[in-house]
Amino acid sequence: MVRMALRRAAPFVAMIALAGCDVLTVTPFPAFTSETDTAVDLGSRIDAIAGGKTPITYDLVTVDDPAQDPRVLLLVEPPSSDADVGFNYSGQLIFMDRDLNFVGQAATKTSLDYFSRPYSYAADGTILAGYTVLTANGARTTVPAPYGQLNPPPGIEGFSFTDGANTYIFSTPAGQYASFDLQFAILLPTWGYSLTPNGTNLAIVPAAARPALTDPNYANLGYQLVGLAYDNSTTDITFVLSEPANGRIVAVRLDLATATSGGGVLLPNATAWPVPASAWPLAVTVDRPELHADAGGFFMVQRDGWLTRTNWALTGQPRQDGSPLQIVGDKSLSRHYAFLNSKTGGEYMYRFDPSSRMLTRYKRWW
Amino acid sequence: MAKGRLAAVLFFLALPALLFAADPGRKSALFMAPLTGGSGDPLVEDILASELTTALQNAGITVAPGRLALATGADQPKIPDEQRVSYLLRGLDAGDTDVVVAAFYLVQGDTLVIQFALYDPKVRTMLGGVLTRARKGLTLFASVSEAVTQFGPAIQRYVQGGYQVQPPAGIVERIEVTGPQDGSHVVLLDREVGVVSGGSLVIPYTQFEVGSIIPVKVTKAGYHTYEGTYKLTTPQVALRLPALHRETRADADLVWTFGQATGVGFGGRIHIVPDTLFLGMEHYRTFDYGSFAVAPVRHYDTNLQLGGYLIFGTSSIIRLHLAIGAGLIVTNVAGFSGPDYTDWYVLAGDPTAELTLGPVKVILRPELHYALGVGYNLLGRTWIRTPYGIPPLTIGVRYSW
Repeated sequence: MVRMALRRAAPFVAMIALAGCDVLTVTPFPAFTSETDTAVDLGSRIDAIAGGKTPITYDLVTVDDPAQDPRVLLLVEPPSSDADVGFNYSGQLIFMDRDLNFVGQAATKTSLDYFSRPYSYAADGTILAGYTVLTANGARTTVPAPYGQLNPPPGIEGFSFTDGANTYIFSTPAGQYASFDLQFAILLPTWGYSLTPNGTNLAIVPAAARPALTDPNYANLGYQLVGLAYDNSTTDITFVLSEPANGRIVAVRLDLATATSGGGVLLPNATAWPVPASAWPLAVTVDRPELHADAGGFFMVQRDGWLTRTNWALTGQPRQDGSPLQIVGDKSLSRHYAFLNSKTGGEYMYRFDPSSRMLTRYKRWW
Repeated sequence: MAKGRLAAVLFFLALPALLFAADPGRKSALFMAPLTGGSGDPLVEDILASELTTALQNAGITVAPGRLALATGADQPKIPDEQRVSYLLRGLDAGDTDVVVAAFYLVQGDTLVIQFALYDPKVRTMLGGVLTRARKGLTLFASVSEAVTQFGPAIQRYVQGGYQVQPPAGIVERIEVTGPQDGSHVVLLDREVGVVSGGSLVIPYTQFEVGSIIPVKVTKAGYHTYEGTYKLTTPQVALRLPALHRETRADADLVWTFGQATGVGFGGRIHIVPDTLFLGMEHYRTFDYGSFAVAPVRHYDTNLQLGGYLIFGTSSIIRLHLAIGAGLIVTNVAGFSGPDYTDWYVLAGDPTAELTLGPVKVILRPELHYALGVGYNLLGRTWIRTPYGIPPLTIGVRYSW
């Protein structure tokens, strides 16, 4: 009798045990807390840059290149509007190595210049910050002459990478919320443009798969470039696009030669608007997250507090590889994240908290 | 001759009635006092004296001039400390009077309550009485007159029966109170009638009419006062009152939180106003011994709170309280040489349901905490919630004393 009762109860006990394991792991705290590795207090440096002005805006990025030491860059931007002189930019970039040791700090040439994305290493070991070329320690350069600045500047908020001696920049066309084209520029080793200023366009979908220009909502449709990864070995570029109108993140891959041919199309087989999610090699429905792409996939810092790592296939189209890894992340939208996911440069997550002004490095959790 | 014999028989047959109906030797004295103590109402007392004198004289009882007064002295019973009429009247210097006619009156708003009593000072015995109610005001004279009229039958019974007092019909003769703890003071209407001892209090003689609805109050130091209204339906009444609830001075809590499941917490509260307003402190800590390649993370959550009970009374089995306050969660990551994470937060209510099971209570609450995002923190400025969007839930046991 007792044995029978035990036998009947066994599945329930197992269910309770399994549920119990889940219960034990539920916590409001970020799951990466246990990976806390090192931290640096940037308060005094930020105070010196801001001079008491508030509010301060920040951006946190990593730049990596197989031949260079990775850098962690924190952009500190006090208010640039000055009652006496109008636009008066005083933002500065703090340069740190992967271990968060301070290596340098950079200001713009004049108060009319500014720093912005893209940030990347160039083939000569310099670092491109928007349209300004700096050394890996944040010092100014004179190449391109005379001030180490690209002229004219490329599209802002884009992504850049190096192939051979050339540097490539892809971005959403300047001034557009979303677009059906990407703008790209090719910079020669001397930082001169190989194409006419501001480069040319890379179509995202064919003309047949776009809404009519007469669509009153046309300017809000289309795609934003939110991530880009380049594989030097295959010369494939993986583009990660946000489709705000549908709350969707999509990814597609195109080789460098086609992408820069002037006639390339990211999704040539799309035939009609709207383009369904299934037409893309990888599509994720998610409220616009903060996205960080690398060679193996992308991280999403989501507004609902989850932190997700999605891997994609390294060859062919970037189809999802395995199940995404999702952990409890950060419900605060004020934090800034950067990821260094390089076999050679290290695998770390960086998090900057504007309230404490502490920059913390976490070991790989994904 | 026959006529003479018949007259003698009739005379002897009527003699007892004549003797009791008009006994010129009986003397009475008046005593009047307010039920609540203090100075009396001269107008009420004058009217009472006049009406009682008339009623007594009509019954053939001589009324001594003047009014009696209670003996003074530290050891003498006083109104309102001493509520037993017979004890009070023992202190009278009644001289050679046969009967004391006492009238205790109470003026409450426009209501006049008078308790009449007949007392034999020689043998210190209550002979009878009645409780009357009337409206006060313009009709005061008529009201007092009517009250005295209601007292008339008691006088008649005294005159006719001497000490053979029959229980007045329609009066509650005995009340037994049970339920409250020993030492509880019982107040009927507005008079304390005694202290519960040995589990009960017997009130052997009352002036309440059967059918009266009276307020009952029970008090005891360290316990919540009980108040209720009861109808006295029979001459022998058993009042089953609830036991008094002890006033809570302090609590100790042991809690577990879904959302911090690998931990345990404890807390303590001091009641500023028993079972109403409290100050509390709680500490919760998690135990994490880490696993392969994962450093142990331990959270130490401490908060101070000020709270109050809402909605349900102290006798309710389920109560609800809210609390506001502030707290700090310190998070320590083993092996990390940097500072600990510190998440300051405010308690935004913490609505807690409390189920009373004797001295032990079971508590359940959502943790409504808002992290302030100041300092080197983990959570930022946000509501502290589990990944599923709900706040952490805490269940615990509470011992109160």
